[in-house]
Amino acid sequence: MKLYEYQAKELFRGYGIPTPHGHVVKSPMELKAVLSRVSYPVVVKAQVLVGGRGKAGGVRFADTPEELEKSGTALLRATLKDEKVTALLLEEKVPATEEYYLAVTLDRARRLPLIMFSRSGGMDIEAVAREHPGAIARVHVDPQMGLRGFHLEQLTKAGGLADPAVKKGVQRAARALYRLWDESDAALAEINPLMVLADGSVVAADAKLEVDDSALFRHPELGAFRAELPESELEREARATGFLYIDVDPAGSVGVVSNGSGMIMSCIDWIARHGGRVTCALDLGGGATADRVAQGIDILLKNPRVKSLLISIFGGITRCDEIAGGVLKAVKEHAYPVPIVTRLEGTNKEKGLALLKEARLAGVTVAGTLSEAADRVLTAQKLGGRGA
Amino acid sequence: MSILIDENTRLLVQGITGREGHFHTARMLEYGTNVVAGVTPGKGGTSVEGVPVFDTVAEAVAARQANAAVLFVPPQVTLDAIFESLAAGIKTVITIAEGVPVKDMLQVYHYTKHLPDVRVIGPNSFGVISPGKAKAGFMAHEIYLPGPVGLMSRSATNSYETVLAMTQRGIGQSTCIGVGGDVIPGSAFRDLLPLFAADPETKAVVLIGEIGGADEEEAADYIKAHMTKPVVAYIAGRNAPPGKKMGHAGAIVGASGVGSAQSKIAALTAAGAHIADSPGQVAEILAKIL
Repeated sequence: MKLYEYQAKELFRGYGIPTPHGHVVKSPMELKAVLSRVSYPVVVKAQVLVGGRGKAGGVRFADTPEELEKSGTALLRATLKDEKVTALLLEEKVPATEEYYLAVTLDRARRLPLIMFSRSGGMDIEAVAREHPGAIARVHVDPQMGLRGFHLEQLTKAGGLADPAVKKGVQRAARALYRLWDESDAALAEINPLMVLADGSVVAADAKLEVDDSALFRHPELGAFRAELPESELEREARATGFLYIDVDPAGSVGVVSNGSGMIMSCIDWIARHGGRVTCALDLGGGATADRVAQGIDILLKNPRVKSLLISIFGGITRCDEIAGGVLKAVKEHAYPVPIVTRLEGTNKEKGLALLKEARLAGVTVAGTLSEAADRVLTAQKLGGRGA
Repeated sequence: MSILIDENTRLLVQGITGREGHFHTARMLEYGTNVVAGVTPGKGGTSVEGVPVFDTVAEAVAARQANAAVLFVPPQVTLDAIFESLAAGIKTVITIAEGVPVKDMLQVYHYTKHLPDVRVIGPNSFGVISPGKAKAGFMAHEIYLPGPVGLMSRSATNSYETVLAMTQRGIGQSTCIGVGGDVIPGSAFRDLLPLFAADPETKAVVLIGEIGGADEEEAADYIKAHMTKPVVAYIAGRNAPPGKKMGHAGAIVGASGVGSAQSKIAALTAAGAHIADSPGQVAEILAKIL
């Protein structure tokens, strides 16, 4: 779960990481109400979770209340890289002398927490990593040992920090960021840029925090943030029903209902091999009953981009007759305007296939293999899919 | 022979009185697995499918000499359950739960890394099966056939597809292991390859990987340096979009392309592994090389 900048900054402050003074507004009305309360010049930042916000025009400056109202109102109506802006963070402009980069993440390959620091902050850090890998200092922390003073010394030394006040400020921020990362089960905690002021103190001008979804049960306080996060209606509906909905490719046209993420990935691969693209997928999980299957099909077909549907199941815990029953139920209850191709394998396969054969539903065909299913679902789409 | 479990395994089921634990205990017994005990705190003294239930793993080990554990417990208590089994002296711990926090498995990894005889499998695993001998997990055991191929997989459905294709061609399996689709598995491909390499019954190894992380690349390093048995690999997710989590916690390609299927296939190819484009092709390749 990625948090908005203003949410992350709330947590940062709780750990003693200084942030600029700011206001969050979620409507033009709220914006109007704070026009006289902010100090100018002010930075207007769209609260979105997509990367490259600055380049996409999501960060602006205003010198007067009139300017703020104008650019703020425009931003509140904007969409950045497909994400609707629903909130703005208005912050005092920090008089920085330098911009650094500081982050804590998990080095998955080495299975160790990793702290990264660079004096080349404020820009695309992946580009820095690519072009000047030496410009990023990296220090691994053995979690059994915990973060120690020598780790921080190594970090600032490798990062080329000499000024004692700046070094102290960065080390203090790194220690706090690590503790936040560790205690909140974060996948990533990042400050870019970490601004250095004339007196050597540091301020987190931006804040990124991504939390491990599996650990949210330990952090009820973060659950409250979730309600504010962007989520499509379908994602929300699927999650509320206990399914996983994945928006795969906005340019795709095939929907996939399957059991298990491995199978979903294989379906995407097979459809690509036959020249098509999957637009969204729904994971039924294990052991779905007919009612649940019908419910899942129904949710996925609410996505208007789906022009044909592939249902591919390898039944282990899941029983193929339940899947077939679910397909029948869904199709009988709703007259879907899209062709459906079903492919069943595993537990009770014969029973499932017999059910489908008996029903002879128009628009529902059965395929033997995944390759055949991928081929059919694309052909069916050309012949009679929604919008064809 | 087989690896991790066999007909002599004395299996303990943690969470045996739960819905999944109960159901799959019956299925494991039906397969002939030697399930000797179950554990559910507060349910000690009862029994499930004729298997005695204990309050703690230590009691179950003392009374029934259990030597392997399969965990049908929720993700929130998985870390406790793994540590309870390890503390009671169990060396093979198989974890089914999906949704275990990454940090919990980070802790398990660092606790076990200096314990060479301890083997944690999963989480998010379908379990382990040595066809004809024993199964500890929930896989549909009807499709398995005893034979010479070892298999390890990050995904349950893709491993079923592969096993079915193998069995239909008459190619059996020595041991099949659900490595799991998480960010930090208790045992990665790299950790399991030496076990297959040392097993005289295993003549070839199948590796079913997917996008995300570098476990396939690490396996490739080991294959290149040490494996004399043929390895056939299938990697799912070639067409998965970068930056999107594909269901498994661990299956995500970084924005810069780190963890892509292409990088894994390149590493495995360079290591001399046979690359299959589909589970069905895994079986075709095996038919040729065995």
